[in-house]
Amino acid sequence: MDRFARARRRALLETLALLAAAVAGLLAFPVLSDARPATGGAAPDFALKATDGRNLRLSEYRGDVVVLAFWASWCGPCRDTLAQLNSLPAATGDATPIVLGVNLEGDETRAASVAQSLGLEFPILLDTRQSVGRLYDVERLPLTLLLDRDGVVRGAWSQQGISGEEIARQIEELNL
Amino acid sequence: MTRSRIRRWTLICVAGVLASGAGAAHAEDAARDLPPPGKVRDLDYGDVLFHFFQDDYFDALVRLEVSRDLNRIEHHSSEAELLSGGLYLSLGLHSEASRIFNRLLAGPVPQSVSDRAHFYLARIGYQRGYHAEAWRSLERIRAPLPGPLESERRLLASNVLMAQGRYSEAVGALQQAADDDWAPYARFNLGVAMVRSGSAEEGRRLLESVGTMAAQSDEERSLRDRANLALGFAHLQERAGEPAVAALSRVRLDGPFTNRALLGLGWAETDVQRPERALVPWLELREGRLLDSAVQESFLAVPYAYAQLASNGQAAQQYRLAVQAYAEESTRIGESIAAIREGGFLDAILDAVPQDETVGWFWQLQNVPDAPHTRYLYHLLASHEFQEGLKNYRDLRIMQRNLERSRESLAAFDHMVEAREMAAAARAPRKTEVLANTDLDSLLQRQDALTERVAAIAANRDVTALATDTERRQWAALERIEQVLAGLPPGPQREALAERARLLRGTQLWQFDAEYKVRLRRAEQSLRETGVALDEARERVARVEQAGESAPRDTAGFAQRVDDLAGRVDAIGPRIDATAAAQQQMLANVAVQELEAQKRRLASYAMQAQFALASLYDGATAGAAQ
Amino acid sequence: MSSSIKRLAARLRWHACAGAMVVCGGLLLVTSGHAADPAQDLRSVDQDVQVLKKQLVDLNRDLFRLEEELLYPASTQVAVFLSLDVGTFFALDSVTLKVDDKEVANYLYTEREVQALHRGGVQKLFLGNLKAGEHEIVAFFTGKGPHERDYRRGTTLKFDKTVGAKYLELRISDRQAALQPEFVVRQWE
Repeated sequence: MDRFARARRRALLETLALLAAAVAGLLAFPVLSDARPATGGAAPDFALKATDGRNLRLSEYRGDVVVLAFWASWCGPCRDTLAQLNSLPAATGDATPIVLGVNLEGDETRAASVAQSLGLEFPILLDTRQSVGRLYDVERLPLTLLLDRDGVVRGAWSQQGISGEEIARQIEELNL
Repeated sequence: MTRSRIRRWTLICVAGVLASGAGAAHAEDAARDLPPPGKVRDLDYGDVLFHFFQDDYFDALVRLEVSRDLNRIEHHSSEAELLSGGLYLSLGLHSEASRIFNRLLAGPVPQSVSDRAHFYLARIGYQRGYHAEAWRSLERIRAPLPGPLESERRLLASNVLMAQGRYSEAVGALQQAADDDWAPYARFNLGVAMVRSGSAEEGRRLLESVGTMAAQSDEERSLRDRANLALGFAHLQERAGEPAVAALSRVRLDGPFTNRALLGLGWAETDVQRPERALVPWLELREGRLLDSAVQESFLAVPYAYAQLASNGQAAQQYRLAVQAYAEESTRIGESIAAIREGGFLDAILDAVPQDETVGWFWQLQNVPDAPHTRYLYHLLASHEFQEGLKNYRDLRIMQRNLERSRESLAAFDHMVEAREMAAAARAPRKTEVLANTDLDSLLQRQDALTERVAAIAANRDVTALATDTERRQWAALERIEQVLAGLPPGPQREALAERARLLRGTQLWQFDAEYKVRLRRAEQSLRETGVALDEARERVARVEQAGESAPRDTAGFAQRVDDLAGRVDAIGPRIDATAAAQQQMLANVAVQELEAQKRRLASYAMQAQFALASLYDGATAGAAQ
Repeated sequence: MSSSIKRLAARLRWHACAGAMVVCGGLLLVTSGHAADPAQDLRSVDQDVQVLKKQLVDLNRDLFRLEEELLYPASTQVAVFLSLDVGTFFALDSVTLKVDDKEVANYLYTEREVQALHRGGVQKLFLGNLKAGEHEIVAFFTGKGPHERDYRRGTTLKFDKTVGAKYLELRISDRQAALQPEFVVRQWE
């Protein structure tokens, strides 16, 4: 393929990417982002249905500190992380962040039952089409992201579980 | 967090008018005259509303501006103007909002719109201290405003009257608005104003009514506390101890006004010659944090009470305690001042200030972590100047982030424009190729020629002209036969042959005639088709040529716009940074000044304690001498 | 009791009263909405901030326009909007949109968004490019009506894309069929 054709194709891909961004919400987010939102980058917006039937949109939590926890029922460390996040209020006291669990499996019942058995008190979002998993380029689980009040990723823990204290400490250190 | 609480926030204005807090009210009001659902006639206006109703004011405003620029909101023009004014106001841009409202009023607008524009102008005027102007705007409102706006107009009117010192009129206005939500707040304000300006009795009456009202919410309880506190001190000024005790006792024991109430209670008890009872609140008060000025005073008040009880030994001990406490606190203040001077102060404060804007957030600051820079946050935020500055600083940080996103978007656009340029350049050689291969002119000539011929055939009914090759050969053959026949000697053989030739010719002619119509139609049809094809080809060539010319122009146009915008982004960035730095410096200065004033006060207290101590010793020695 | 202590007492009382009045009076001033003594510096910073904010609004506006013109020129632009016009509360859950048999939107609505729609907001569901000629859209919505009843409805529309930007409005309305939410489609130029 000659270089002009390559350029044309690149232009087309970029147009498509921008299109997707436009549909998702335009100028709110960096337009040509790398797939994985890096620390310091904006967390891509999305909306998913929770196990209680509500639709929840990430951008509506602007103004709050948010912990995004990607998980699946077959991932042991994920469940540990979820259990830890469940007891965040104790660790962080008044400055409790919003916790959102994003389940990447297609199986709604399994996700709901795990959530129930762990006694999770925060919303569990069901990414049945794995669209959010793709959006965030989740390759390995668990993946936990800490977002500041502007929706910017300030901390990321990949392939490892994380404790409530650690998150609390990060929040404090970053003055979120 | 609910919107109605934010509206109430505007009325209380405890912590000053935070942009977004007041803004919610302003923008909401601007949209009150909205068409009911289903009646939006410009879809783009509906899009603006969709964002506005979700409180994305900035987004809504940007979309509104875009749509108005592109003339997409022609059916809702005056409402859109009003809404844009309200949105600018909610973002803190009063000048721009004023401009919009005034412009709106300059044109022909329905009264409902002009009434509201006057109302907003009145509110802006009041907030900026132009009370006479505000009153004039209020007077231009002809009819009651829609819904809750009318109640707010009454509030504004009473505030303006108070600000102008027209207290008796304000009282009258308040009487008319007795049922409004905000009435107790206004009564409180008026009460305080009247006490301070000499109509003490009336003022106290107003404060009493607020101090004894039934309170349903936290905000109302807070207001009631404040009223009782003010009332208590007003009585104290008249040395009316018992009523003071009564009022101050109504202040909650776990609220933001507790400390001051405790202090006042002690004084009230002292006034009615009950120093032993004064000790009760004062001792409790002294357990509090020394950064509270009431607590600071209690350190002097307690030994004073002991002295009144003739417990001089105790008094002396307590004065010594006071001196020590003041010295410690002074040191702590010094540390804070140093920390502030080192910088990073504002960001630490900003991060400590809760984002949630429900009522009471201001008081939550009492629980802020006890770090050197945040220790005195509570007191600093009581200063209006500090709040405004903090609000600006916070806004500037948000603007920096917005600018960063704009920069990223522009980088993407730059990419795209470049890609377009390359694509256009790539198409150029192909284009010249296409154009070279298309010899349009000769094709057109041939088409014209053919068209003429067919027209001639039709005009002359030249049936033979449309003959097929076979038919032409046959015709030619027949002609040759006729020629040969003509050269033959006459006779029955020749006659028979001639007859046959005549028959054949007749058949041919008949055939030609029969086929003529069909063939003519076919010829004309095919001419039309080639005609259409040629037209299309001509258009395509023209388009290609034009695209060849305009694409670079379009792309150049886009490239220019991207460059212009990039230039603007580059210009704005440093100004935001500079203004943020200036604001930070200012706030640091205000904070340091405030803290130094605190230090001075502590020093003065310490000195008073020393004098009192000395006096006690003198008395002791004098007594001993006697 | 010694006179100095009396004087101290008087001064303390003054402080206390003044303190209280300053608190209350300070609040009064604050409710008045303007600083008693506006510092010149604060004013000028304030003005700078206002100017910068306006510049930022203008910048964002121009960026928005540029993006739209770059990505969706009028000649190919097609926009699909969604609105609600229902007599009783309808909890819209999701809307799917297909253009020429390709899914272009699959939107989940939060409570906040549904409220905004009910108040008369109109969502720009899809913005895209289509060549001139005939195209088809297929849309579905799901949601809960009164009495917890689930609804799922669809609609199809063929339309012609000509030279200017094309606007299509998908309105979920219960005015036609009594209290049953249905799609009503309108075309705008």
